[in-house]
Amino acid sequence: MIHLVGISKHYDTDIGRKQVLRETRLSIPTAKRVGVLGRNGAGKTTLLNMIAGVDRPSTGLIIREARMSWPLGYSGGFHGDLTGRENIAFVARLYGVDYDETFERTEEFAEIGPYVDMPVRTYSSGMKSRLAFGLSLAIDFDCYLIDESIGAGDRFFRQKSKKVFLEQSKDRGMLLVSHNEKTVREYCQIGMVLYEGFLVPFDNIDEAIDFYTRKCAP
Amino acid sequence: MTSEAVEKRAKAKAAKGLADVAVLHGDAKPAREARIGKSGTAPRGGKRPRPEKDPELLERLNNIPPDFVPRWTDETLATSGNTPRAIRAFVHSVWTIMLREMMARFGRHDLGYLWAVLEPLIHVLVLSFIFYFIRMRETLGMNPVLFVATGIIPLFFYMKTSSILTNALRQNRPLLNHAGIQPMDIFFARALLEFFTQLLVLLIFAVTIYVALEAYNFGSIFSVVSNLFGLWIFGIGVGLTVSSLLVYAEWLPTMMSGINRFIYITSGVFFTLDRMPPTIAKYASWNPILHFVDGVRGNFSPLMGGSRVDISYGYLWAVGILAIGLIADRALRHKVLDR
Repeated sequence: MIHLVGISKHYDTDIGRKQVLRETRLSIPTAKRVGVLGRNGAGKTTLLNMIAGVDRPSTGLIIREARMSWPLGYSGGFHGDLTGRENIAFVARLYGVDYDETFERTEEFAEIGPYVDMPVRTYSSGMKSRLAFGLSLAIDFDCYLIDESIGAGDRFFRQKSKKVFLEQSKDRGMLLVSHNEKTVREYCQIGMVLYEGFLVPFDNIDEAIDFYTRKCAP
Repeated sequence: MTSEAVEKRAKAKAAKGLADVAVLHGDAKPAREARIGKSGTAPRGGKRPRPEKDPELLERLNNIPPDFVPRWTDETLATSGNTPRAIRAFVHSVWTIMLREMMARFGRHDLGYLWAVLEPLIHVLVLSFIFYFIRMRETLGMNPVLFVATGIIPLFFYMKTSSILTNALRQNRPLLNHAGIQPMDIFFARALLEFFTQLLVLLIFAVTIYVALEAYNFGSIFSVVSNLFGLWIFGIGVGLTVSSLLVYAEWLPTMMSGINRFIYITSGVFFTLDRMPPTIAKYASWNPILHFVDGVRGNFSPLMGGSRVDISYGYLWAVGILAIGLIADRALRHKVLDR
């Protein structure tokens, strides 16, 4: 469960206050596949970041009662001066999982070969996100956070990563935010729509998509 | 036009003028917000109802489906607070981040950890050169290298800690994506690592000087560490304050580098409080960092660190600044993370 205990979010900018999320009191199940729909700039990524812990809600409190992943394929957490191997060691230690097993599983998936002993700053962006993706697969999370899409790297690698991810996360929850109703329909069972700062929950993904297409269409 | 009408118009003008003044004097923000708020909630395209009045939306929001019904209890809220579990998580996360930083410094292709020793070494060499040839008598019988080293390295406890904390959260923000890591873990890990790094540097210098240059009489390790600790928490306080206030003042680091240059000159790297003319000492002793620096140096030579050095005055400042830093961080952290 992710408890959104009366959270709201606004940004004070030079041109005034932007209310991204109005006060919300919900518990998001982490055992199910939840899709969050919203238009560009509706605050989907902000919501995801708040749940991940990077952004703070302006008011209220978020309580995570599950082992949550970092946003799938997000490589910003790597230290550029450390090698791939050292970065894996850091994450394994942080999450308290076995290093050797994590390393093996990550390396097998990420296909970065001898580069694993080079500093991450020398990687291409595709290599970085493959490493990040492989690493999030190597650790058993209860719930995966996903921003927009599943997969990393080029087309072929995307297919592979999608397949491996879906296979492995069959009985796991996920929280996927997307502006694309097709992606959400493909992966999610239940959903929420971010509309004018309201986070509207639906126990049926088709209803959510219906609401999204009617209300958010320009 | 009647005189009455003219008067009315003039009054209206004056009222308007007053309104303008009010806007200029800092009420601009609410006025702007009000404007945005209006355009933000106004129906777009003329047809759509305001979302707050949209019956379908209201019905949805009032009938939360069972999957999403709030399920937290008082117990849930209580366990997310400060428990032994939270402390264990803090220690684990701080330790992990420290290992990561150490690995990054050791493994770096440029000088890495060597720089931690080289930088003070350069300062020490240049300054003791100056002392040796120009102001030899001013070190008052203490070996000039020892004099400078026991000034500059304690000062680094303050300087390095404050500058590293200034950027710690912004640089390591992506780490917050890991559920186990909180901003305070990052601050504390960086600060703690800096403390031990500088302690190691001081140890290296102290031992090298003892063996190679002069076998001095060492005072009390407790006195040294308590002064260094004061400098360290002073640095944490300044670092947290600057890091937080950066939200409002981007020029702050520039100002701080100016202030730090002033601190470098006035904090006893070049002189000692006890041997100053009383008139100057009166003003110099206002600087809390000078008391800590002289306090450390007093343990390396019986000639130094006398009655004017007051560690409790230093701690008064250090604890005050630390409190300001912690409050500023608490109050502004969400703004720091918003950038």
